Parts: sequence; structure tokens; C-alpha cells
Amino acid sequence: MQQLPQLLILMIRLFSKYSASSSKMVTFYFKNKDNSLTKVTTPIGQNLLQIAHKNEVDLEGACEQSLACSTCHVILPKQLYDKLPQPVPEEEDLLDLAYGLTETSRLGCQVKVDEKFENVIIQLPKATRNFYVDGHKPKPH
Amino acid sequence: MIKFGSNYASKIQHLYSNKPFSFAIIGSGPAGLYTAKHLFNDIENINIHVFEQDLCPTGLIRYGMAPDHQRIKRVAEELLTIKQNEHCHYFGGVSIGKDITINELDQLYSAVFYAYGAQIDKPLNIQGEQLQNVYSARQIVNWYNSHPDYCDLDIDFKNKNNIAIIGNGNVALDIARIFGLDQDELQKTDINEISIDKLKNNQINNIVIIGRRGLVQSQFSLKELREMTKLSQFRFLLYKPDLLWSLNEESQTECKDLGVNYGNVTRGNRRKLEFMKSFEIIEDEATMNSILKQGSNGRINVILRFLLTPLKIELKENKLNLKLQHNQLAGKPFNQVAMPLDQQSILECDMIIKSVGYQSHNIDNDIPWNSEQNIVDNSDGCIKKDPTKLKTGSYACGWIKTGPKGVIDSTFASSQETIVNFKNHMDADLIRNVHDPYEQVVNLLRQRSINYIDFKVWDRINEFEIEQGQKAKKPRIKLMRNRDLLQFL
Ligand SMILES: Cc1cc2nc3c(=O)[nH]c(=O)nc-3n(C[C@H](O)[C@H](O)[C@H](O)COP(=O)(O)OP(=O)(O)OC[C@H]3O[C@@H](n4cnc5c(N)ncnc54)[C@H](O)[C@@H]3O)c2cc1C
Ligand code: FES
Repeated sequence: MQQLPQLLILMIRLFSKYSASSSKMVTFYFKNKDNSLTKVTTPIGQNLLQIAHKNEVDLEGACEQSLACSTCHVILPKQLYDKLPQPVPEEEDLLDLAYGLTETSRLGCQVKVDEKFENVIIQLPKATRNFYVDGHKPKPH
Repeated sequence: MIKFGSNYASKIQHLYSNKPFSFAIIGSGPAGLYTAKHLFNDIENINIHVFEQDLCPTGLIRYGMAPDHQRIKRVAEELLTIKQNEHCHYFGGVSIGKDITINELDQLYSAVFYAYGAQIDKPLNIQGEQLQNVYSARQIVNWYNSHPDYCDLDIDFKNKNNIAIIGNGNVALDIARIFGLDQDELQKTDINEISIDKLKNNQINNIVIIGRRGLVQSQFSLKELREMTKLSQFRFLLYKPDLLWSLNEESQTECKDLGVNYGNVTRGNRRKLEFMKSFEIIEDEATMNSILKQGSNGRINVILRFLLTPLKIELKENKLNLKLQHNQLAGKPFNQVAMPLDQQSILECDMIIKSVGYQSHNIDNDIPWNSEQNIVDNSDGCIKKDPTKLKTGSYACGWIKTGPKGVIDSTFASSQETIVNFKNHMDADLIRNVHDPYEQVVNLLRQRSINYIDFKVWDRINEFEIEQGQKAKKPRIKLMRNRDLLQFL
């Protein structure tokens, strides 16, 4: 009989801990391929690819987060990169194949956001050189 | 959903809102579908027609990527979301250059995107290539992926103990891996029953994978190597003399951290070399010969050989004799070539697979062709009329633009570059307005008696294949004959 209240307290503690952490929000930015910024506010615990998709940021996720492509490649600020746990070797293998790899590249589907992401800018890799042909410059609009 | 370029989309919409554009895309592989998807995202009021020579869409996703790599094949679904757009039409079974010419497309559309990939084998040009039990990787890959033109390939694995694969890229590893899957693993793939029957209980003991240059220059990716070493039936082996010749000073430089200018190259080399150091080593020729003669008690030896060029194939006493030229490396780091040594040897085997690469070809004489690189002549995706002028309104994406190299990520990136350049042409008013030519195209195909499938038919086929698969606890069971596919019309 003595155990029951203890169990209850434990459950309440666990529950409040869980609900507290899941409702904690963080705000940061994606820098798009055209250099525009998309501001996102999101509960912590989700991965960068999920967040990008919810916010209509153009990050591909060709293998649906199964660590089999590298199309969810993103570039983190160095300070943030250094604070995160090391990628597993399988992620590193895919980064070897990523287009436009940098020293602070990660796969978006493997990086969960937490408080450390507050206010940072996550850059999408650029695949393009701007290229105007035959002397044509785009018209100003 | 409007994603990247959404600002752009509003601009283009603003300028041209009442005037439609119509685009043709040749090829429904990753490059073609990615391009369609992003054109729809970025530009308002457009029609897109995708022409595909196979009946079924998605190119190498369906007929190239390995059947035990279902996770990466899922990209097909995402790319095919374009079919929900009523302004998107699919013509599966229509071969451009044959059924409809490039000139006709140029006349019918505002712009034409070439995304027709690489459809032929890079030739090896050695004597004996035509012998029985010699195949190209493309034949094998199409066979185990149930391509209608290859599902009846004349192949059997009876008494095939030793197999040589010429060329050391990921496709070679895909083939070696599929050949080594056990029956349970095969059942989990979408390989058809006829092929599974041939593959299961095969008697392969050794698969020797041969590269012209050294270990560091090999094209395998570590991702594929690591994955395969996790399967217990494979035992990876290296040959000591190959290593000594491979790891010259220049090659070691190719593994050093040389900073960002070398991109992922040195990083990939370094990590791959480090990983391969854990492989078992065959000390000398005598040990090698005895390994090749022994049975392998259930495991398959995957022997990675380097610095060997195939010279010819001969048939002797029921065995294929692959004559090999030994090489050494010469030249500066990152530009090393294979220089022949005064040494040759013979590898005796039962099957040979040439996996030296896919190649693109010209499908219509009116296509400006770069015959040095075997790609459509283009500058960052804009097709060139001649060395100094562009053929405005014609663009290239994916392997036909870059040559057949890289993975889906690089294919997307190269297509994206093309789209950006194309949008610059739109901005500069270089692209003409065209109303949806759907009726004209349908009439043209009817006149020429060409049967084609559209997205609705494909949906029915896709559903059927998946449903059949579910009954057999497989990802899908592919229909492998055109007549069966055409029944869904
Ligand atoms: C065996 C193999 C395995 C691979 N495995 C992987 C992997 O696991 N992961 C990965 O990321 N990448 C993999 N790749 C690479 C990936 O498949 C390519 O990056 C990608 O398919 C290239 O896309 P594409 O659209 O340029 O060419 P394709 O996929 O070849 O598409 C071209 C399409 O054009 C069609 N076509 C050709 N000629 C005509 C014509 N005249 N008229 C109309 N249509 C035409 C073809 O039928 C085809 O459907 C693999 C490649 C191969 C060869
Ligand atoms: S979505 Fe494929 S690795 Fe992240």
C-alpha cells in the first residue's frame, strides 16, 4: 500500500518532465538556396528534415530519413556543430558523397534540435553557380 | 507546396500570369521528375509532358538501383507526386528520336528538358567479349530488376564457382551483393521468382573485382562497402602485392587532408582506405591460387584486385580465361594513370561481368552532341547550338548533362543548377508562350499507332504490383512483360 503513492509521484514527475520538454520551443532560421531566410519556431526533439518540411523549406529527403541518401544535407554553424554529438560512421559515409560538403556538414534527418539551436542559421548547400548567358542579365522587377 | 524559389514564383506569375508555358521533359528518371517537380513549384501556369521510352516511370530507380535497397527506391513516390497536378501528363512507352523527333518537340513546346540518362554500355573493346557467360553490368542489373527487355536474359549459375567483375564501382558491389544474398534475403526484395530461382543455391565461391588503377582510385563508396561487410556471408580480401603497388606516395597524398579545395575527395579516400585496412590480406600468388581453387564452405570471398587491365577473354576447357595486364601508377596526385608493366597473368573463371560504366548516346541527329564526353553538348545545363551559341529553349539535366556518374544527390544538384539557369532565360524573356499541346501530341501518337501509358494507368499498375507483393510479403512483384503492362490500358 505504501508503494502506490510513491509510484504515483514518480509517474507525475515523469509526466511533467516529458510534457515540459516536449512543449519547449526553439526558434532558428534556414538559409535557403536563394539566400532568403525562413524563420522557424518548433518544439525541440524533432529533426531538421522534419522541421524543414513542415515549414516548406526546400530540403529533399529522398530516402525518407533512412540514412540511405544524402539529399538532406545541411551546413551548421561551427559553434553549434562542435557542441553536437559526433555523427555515426554511416552518416559520415553518406556525407562523403554529399554535394558541396563542408567541415560542418550534417544530414538533416540525423540532427535533432534542442535549446542549442536558438537563433542559429542552418544553411542549405548551394548547387548552383549563377550563370547569365549571351550577355543577358535578368530584368529588374 | 511552393518551396525554394517561392519568391521567384510570384515574380514569374506576376509577369506572365495570363500566358501559359508548356514544357517537354525527355526521360522520367530522377533528373526528369525532379525537374518537373521544381518547375511546377517555381513557375505558375505551366504544362509539363514527360516522355519516357519505357512503359513504367522512374528510370534507374526502378531498373538500376539494387532490389535490396528499397529504402532509396522510395524516392520514386515523392518524385511522382507531380502526377497530382492536372497540368502534368506522362507518356510512357514513347521513345524520343524514334517515335517523336527533337524538331517536333522544339516546335510543340516552350522549352525541352533532356533528362534521358545513359542507356548503353561503355565498350571494353577486347577480344572474347561476345563469349557465353560474359555479360555487361547493365544486362545483369536490368535482369534482376525485371526490365522487360532483359528479364529473359540467358543466364544460369550452375557450376559458376568463380566470377570476375571488371570495374570497381558501386555497381560491381551491387551485383556481387545480389549474387550472394541467401534465399531469405532474396525473398525480401522485389526480384522476380524466375530470377530468384536462378540465384538461390548458386555455387559461387569467389567474386574477384578488378580495377585498372590502385586501391585509392577505386570508385566504391565506403557506404556500400561497409553495408556489405555487415552481411556475414561475405569475406573481403585484398592481395598484398596490389597494396604495395597501390599505396605509392602520390596515392597517399590523395588521402591527406588538403583543405576544402579538394572537397570530399580526400576525405572519402582517407576514410575508405582506413576501413579497408581491416580486410584480410592474401599474402602471395600461391595462397591466391589455392583460395581460387577451394570451395568456400558457405561464405563468398570477395577479392578486391587492383592495377589490372583486361586484355582478352578466351574459352579453354569450359573455363573463361581472362588475360590481364599488370599496371603501375604514374603521374601526379589526382591525375594518376595506369601504366602497363611488362607482366601479364590469367584469371580462370566461370562468368565475367563488365562493369566499366554506363554511357549516354545520341538519340536524334539534331541533338548537339559532345562526342568527347558522350553527353549532350551543354554549358551548365544550357544546350549549345554550336561552340559559341546556345540553343535557347533546350536544357539538360542529370546524367545526360554530366555523364553517368554520381548518386541521386548529385543528380538532383545538377538538375537544380539547370533549373536556375533556365529561370534566368525566362526572366530575360527568351522563352516563348505555348498553350498546352496535349491534343496535338495525343493525335500524333495515335497517327503513328504508338501505345503509351499515362499516370492513371501507371497508378493501376503500381497498385497491382504492390498488392501482389503484399500477398507474398515482398515490397512488390513487378510486371516484367510489356504485354502484361499494356493490359492495364
Ligand atoms: C546500377 C545502378 C545503381 C544505382 N544505385 C544508386 C543508389 O543506390 N543510390 C543512389 O543515390 N544512386 C544510385 N545510382 C545512381 C542514380 O541511379 C542516378 O544518379 C540517376 O538515376 C540518374 O538520373 P537520370 O534521370 O539522369 O537518369 P536515368 O535514371 O537513367 O533516367 C533516364 C530515363 O530516360 C529514359 N530515356 C532514355 N532514352 C529515352 C528516349 N529516347 N526517349 C524517352 N525516354 C528515354 C530512360 O528509359 C530512363 O527512364 C545507381 C545507378 C546505377 C546505374
Ligand atoms: S533523408 Fe536520406 S539520409 Fe536523410
